Amino acid sequence: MPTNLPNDITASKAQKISAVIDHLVAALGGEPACTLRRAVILADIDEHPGTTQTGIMERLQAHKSALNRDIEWLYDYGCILRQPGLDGRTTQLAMAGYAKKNLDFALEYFDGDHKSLKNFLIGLINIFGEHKPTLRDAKIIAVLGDQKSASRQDILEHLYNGPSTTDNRALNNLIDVGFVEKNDEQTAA
Amino acid sequence: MSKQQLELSEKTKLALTALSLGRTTAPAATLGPDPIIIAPANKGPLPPIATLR
Repeated sequence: MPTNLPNDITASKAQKISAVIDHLVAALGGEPACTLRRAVILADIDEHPGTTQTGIMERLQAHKSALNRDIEWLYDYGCILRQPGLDGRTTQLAMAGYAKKNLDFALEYFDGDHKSLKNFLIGLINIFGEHKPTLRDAKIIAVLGDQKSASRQDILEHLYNGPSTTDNRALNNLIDVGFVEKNDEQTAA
Repeated sequence: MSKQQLELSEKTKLALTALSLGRTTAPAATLGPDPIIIAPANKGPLPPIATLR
């Protein structure tokens, strides 16, 4: 009987979380700077094809101005399509092909259930409190959750080939706000 | 010689462990207002505002 079962479970879960984040980055234009909020909105549009912005606002209790910006971003990155509604006044939103394909991969970790994926992402957002988390932030947390302890370089190697200054800044922010801690390990010279 | 290692804070570890993968029966969560971005506190005072003469 293994004695370190809880850690193994956590590591396994952290690897799965890491994989979910990878699929979401792929669904969101390969942009790790995208916020987790936008991933929730994308999942909602996938669950309700042809939905309107008002529909998303009602379901997610999102503020109109912030939602406007998020939908603009999703459209600009080619994640969603806009079509005029039958009444000629509303705009219907639907998923673009590549975004849907990659979101479906993420949904496999939730038995294809959109509500479960959205609850997971909102739970992840809530971990960060006032800090507005990006997919990159979530990936850093997942990598450290899996590895328990890692050097800065180890973590950066798991990220998305973005500018190292950006990755380092994200890591420094997580240290500054106390999500990640430094631990000086003594090694043989 | 020391090599700096990074790890999750205890609070973050606990929060990560509490996340659920798989299908959940919990009620649907909502986003609420867009969070305000708060700059890290230990960046020192802001520089003085330049004035035109």
